[in-house]
Amino acid sequence: MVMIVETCNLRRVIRVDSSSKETDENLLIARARDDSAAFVRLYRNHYDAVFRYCVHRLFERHIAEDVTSEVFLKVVEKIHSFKGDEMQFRCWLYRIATNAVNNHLRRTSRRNRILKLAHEQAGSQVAECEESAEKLTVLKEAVFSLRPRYQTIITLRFFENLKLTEIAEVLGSSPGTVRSQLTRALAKLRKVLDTEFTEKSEVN
Amino acid sequence: MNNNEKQFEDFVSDMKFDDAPDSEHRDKLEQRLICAMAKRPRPIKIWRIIMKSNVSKLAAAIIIIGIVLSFHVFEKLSSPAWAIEQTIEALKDLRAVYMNGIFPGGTAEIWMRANKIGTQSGDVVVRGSHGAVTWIKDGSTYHYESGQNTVYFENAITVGFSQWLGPELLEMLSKVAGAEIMRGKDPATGRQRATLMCSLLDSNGPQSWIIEFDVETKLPVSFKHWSNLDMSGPPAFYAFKIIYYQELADSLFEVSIPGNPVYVEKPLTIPDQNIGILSNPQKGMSAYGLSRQQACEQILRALYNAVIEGDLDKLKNLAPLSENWGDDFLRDVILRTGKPDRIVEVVKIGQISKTGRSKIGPIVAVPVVFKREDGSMVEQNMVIQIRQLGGKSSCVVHGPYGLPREIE
Repeated sequence: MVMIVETCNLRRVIRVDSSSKETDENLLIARARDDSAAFVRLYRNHYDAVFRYCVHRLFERHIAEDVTSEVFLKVVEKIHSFKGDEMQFRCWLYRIATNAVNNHLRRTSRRNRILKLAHEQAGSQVAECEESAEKLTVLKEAVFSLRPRYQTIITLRFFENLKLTEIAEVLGSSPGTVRSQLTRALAKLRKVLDTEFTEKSEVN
Repeated sequence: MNNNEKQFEDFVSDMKFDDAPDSEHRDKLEQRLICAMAKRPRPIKIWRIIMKSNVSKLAAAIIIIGIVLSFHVFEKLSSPAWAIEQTIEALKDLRAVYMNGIFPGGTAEIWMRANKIGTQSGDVVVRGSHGAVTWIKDGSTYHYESGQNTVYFENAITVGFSQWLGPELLEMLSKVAGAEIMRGKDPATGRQRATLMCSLLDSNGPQSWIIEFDVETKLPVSFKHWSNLDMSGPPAFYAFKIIYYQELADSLFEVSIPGNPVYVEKPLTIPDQNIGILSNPQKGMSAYGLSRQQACEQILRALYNAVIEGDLDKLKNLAPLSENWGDDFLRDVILRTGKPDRIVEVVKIGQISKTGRSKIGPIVAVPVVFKREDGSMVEQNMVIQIRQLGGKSSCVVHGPYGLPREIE
């Protein structure tokens, strides 16, 4: 809620922001099933995390925004059936986002296209500087060479800083399985990254 | 953490992603979600059956007031939330307001200006997301439905606020019987908030409001309004954004309708929920041997005399909807004891201007002109229910038809 009080020449502007984070997230989640206002607050609390996860998975801002929209529209559709606490809600969101990202990749064959174009798009839309852009290109190629499940695990673990138990919750798996899949994913990544860096240093 | 893990973490640790969310996208998506929430199928409630058309839905949504989000940790107040005398002087001059909100079926933007003396709303324009527009012009209310290419109108001001959204609003509504005020702190801004919750049955039917006020400025910052007494189901209107202005441009209140729409006058009706109270044979006044016009004149004169004399029992008998509002509220809102806008004289009771029908008989609207203590003259249309109970003819006052109008 923004209340702006204007007097002559905007001498006095008062901002009263009620769009705050719910002090009791669990209560907010419960109310969001029927209450649009509560839902909006819940959305505001989680938008950034979902968007960042989508960027880290897709490496393109605009696509990430589209997928973020899909995620929250799905949440509107499904929230009445969600039963759980704050932590479960967070995992549930990541699960929806993961499915949306994977669907997107499948639907548009982005994975193949991105792999193909990766070299041409050295200046990635999500890199902040040239050096980072180069590393990002390498990372993008490496990550997209993995199976979607491994991509998810890598992103959740290293970019979203989720614990193994939380990743397991998102994927509906056990922490032990996630641990072994993480190890395998990292081994594959190392292989790809080593090759990439070796090739690049030889070129240089 | 094993070696591979450590190495990968080091590799990505200094990687700079441009992953800062874009507030524009966030806001646009928020609007889409609000619409999506509003369109979700929900269990059918009584009010949804009553409010079948967009006309009545939107009109009802904006008739009065709404609610507040009680997400703060509230504690009940044992003393008033504030004293009106402490109101910041500058804020008394805020005569215009913009609101953005949700009603079942869509969203609406509302522009509103106070009347000349700042006591109630004057100009109003409501634009619904589905293309409907509602506005006030020359004392009449118009509602355009784009899908039907039809303008529904009535010669009364039936949208707006009977009490302007200023500091007095909380004072007034806090006197409704059973009203509760709670105080809390907005965790984001640290600002003190007062939340008012109240319900009553008035001439628009059952109403509930939760209004959130900023304690420093004494102004409502959000509200929800339900067309029931228990605040069940989604609100009929939820204003989640309120911006106050000293003035708004005239052009904002000018509405032009494309093409040649059909103009249809809205019939005079009263809510079915009010019929029970109006059917009580102990209430009202006999109309035996009187014409409809004579009966209306008699009951309205008796009603206004009760207001002038401060006779609450008589007032509640002749206009029984007021019975459960609470005496403090009646004194504050109807009697206006000690206030310059207190009614002191009935100047004229006009001819029946409009007729309709409820489940128990004919209803009529009659204009009453009265004088206030400050010398101003006001016209107020009143609705009278004519009934035949136990073979006897009688009448009872339902309540006002639209907002009062100052006249020269």
